[in-house]
Amino acid sequence: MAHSDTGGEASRGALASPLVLTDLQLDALAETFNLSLGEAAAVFSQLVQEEIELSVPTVELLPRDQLVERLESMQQTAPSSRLCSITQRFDAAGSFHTDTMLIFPESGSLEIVRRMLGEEATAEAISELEQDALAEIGNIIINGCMSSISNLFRKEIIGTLPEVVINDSRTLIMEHCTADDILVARIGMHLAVQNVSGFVLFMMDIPSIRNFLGEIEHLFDI
Amino acid sequence: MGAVTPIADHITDAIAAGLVVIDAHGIVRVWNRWMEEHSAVAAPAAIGRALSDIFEPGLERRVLMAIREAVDFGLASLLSHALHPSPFPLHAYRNAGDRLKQSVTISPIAGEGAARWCLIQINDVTSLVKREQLLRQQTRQLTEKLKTLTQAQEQLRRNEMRFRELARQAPVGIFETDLFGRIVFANERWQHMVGHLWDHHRVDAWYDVVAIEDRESVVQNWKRASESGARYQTEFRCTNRNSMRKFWVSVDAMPVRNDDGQTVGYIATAIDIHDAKETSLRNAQQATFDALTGLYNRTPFNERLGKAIESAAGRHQFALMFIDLDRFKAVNDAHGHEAGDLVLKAIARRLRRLLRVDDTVARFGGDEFVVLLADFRDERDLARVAAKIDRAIAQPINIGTCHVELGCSVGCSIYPRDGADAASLMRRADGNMYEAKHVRREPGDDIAARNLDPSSA
Repeated sequence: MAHSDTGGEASRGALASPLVLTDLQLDALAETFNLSLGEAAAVFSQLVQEEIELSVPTVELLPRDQLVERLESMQQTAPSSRLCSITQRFDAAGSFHTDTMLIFPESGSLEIVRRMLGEEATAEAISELEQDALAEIGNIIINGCMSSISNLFRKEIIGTLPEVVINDSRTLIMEHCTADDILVARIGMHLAVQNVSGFVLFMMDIPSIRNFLGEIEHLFDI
Repeated sequence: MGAVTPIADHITDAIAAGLVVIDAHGIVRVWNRWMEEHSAVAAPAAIGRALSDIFEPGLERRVLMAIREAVDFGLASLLSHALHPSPFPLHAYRNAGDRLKQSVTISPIAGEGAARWCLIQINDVTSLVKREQLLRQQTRQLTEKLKTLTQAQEQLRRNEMRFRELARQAPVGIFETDLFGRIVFANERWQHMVGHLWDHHRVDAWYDVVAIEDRESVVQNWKRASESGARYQTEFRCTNRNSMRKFWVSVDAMPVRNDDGQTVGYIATAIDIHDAKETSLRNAQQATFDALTGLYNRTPFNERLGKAIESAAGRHQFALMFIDLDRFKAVNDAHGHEAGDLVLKAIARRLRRLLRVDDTVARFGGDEFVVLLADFRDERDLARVAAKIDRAIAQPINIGTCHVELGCSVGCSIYPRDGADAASLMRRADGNMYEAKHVRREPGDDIAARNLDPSSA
């Protein structure tokens, strides 16, 4: 990730508008998530007796429309496929609350689940139990990310159980996200023969994002 | 049962799922009735102990980790059945068999004071798992069936292609019709033969190409055959729509039947038999008629003679007359075969003209003619006919370069007087003819009188 001399400028921007994160801040978040993803990957590998790799995430703050465009372009490689989302709501009392959503292409995630379960890919539609397994996979990744944030901020963040929604990218984002800017961590999930690229989205309202950024600024002293 | 209000106790016990509350120290605080029933551990025995004590070693490690995440960080976890089929050693009520299939959620809840506890909910998904297994099995079977079907379809497609190619390459016309004779398929050969391209959108009957002179009988026979679902074989003339050429075709139409055995149409092969048919018609003509003179040949004459004997049946009489030309060989030698042919044609013409339609004239080859006189009154009548023949033949014949004159010898036999069967009648007439020829060489002899009226001799 490119940073260095743009840092100061972005930092000034952060003062003018709360919706800017410097490259250094983004790097710091990525590093935090990276640690928790390593933990999540270890949990997966234990569950399915197979090496699962979660790639080093890249983190950015994206306007909602741009995120939709990006997700749509991801869909274009497989136009018929929809996106699969796993969402949990988190509440850091008195500071911020966020809907954290993990997004994978439907087909890829289904293949991963079935491979993890050692099933033949027979049916096109996801079954209830498969959907539950998908929810758990998301749950592990999202909990991993949130626990690292919680540790970082030294704040208690209470989370709900995961919910799975499968839909096209625009509907998915527009129906579940009222925030204009979304903190996005892009992660890759690699199983022996499967590669799936996913996003972890932190969707917050304006006060939440202000507080969230305040925590980051405070933490990194930048 | 723990630090809950009595109404909450009732709800906790009535709920159809396992409910366990763990405090910050990992100690069980709530253990509902569902748990008692499925773990065979009573609430008093569970409450106050750590989960790992109650279930060790049957508890899945991830449960404990998830409890710690909930209690320590406030994070909720889902333990899906797919990845954790039976995290708790629980069984169906009073059944020590297989473990229950479970789906488990572990959520942080507010505990006593500022402490955070966690709530474990265990759902029995055994029937759901069974249902999904059944569904998966059915999906597999369906996939298998689909595969078989796809293969069968591919086979069908290949067969169809093979058929089309065979039909295309076939040296015979092939067409398929419905029960009403409407063309549903025609191969290229047939379309070429009849000079007509079948348009799938038009309804043409196959017999539309039958030449007008044969159409009525073809259509009638076809309708009769198709109504009874019978095989239909016939030969008829077709008209090529482009060249308007008429040609003979042999059609063999086999009924196509559905699974119930009902005839639903016909598949027909059509062979152009024009050349063979023409040849055979010509042969038939040749077998019946003498090519040169157009008179009957020996075989049809014999048939007629046989019929005459049969119908006369000894009650009526008729006569047979053998005619042999005199000096024919000399004409042939002097003027050539063409002249000889002209002579034979002329004589045949004359014989036909002077005889009645009921009489039959034939040429037995060379210069020998035979006449069957179907009916005559008496022998004088016969003598008159013989004299007429004699005179007709004696007339000069123009052979182009000159006129030639011939004579003839006539021998007669009369049924039933001279014989009751064809052979003896022929023998007798032939014999009389030779006798006449012999006598004729003696000038002044009256041939007719001699052999027709022995009494006058």
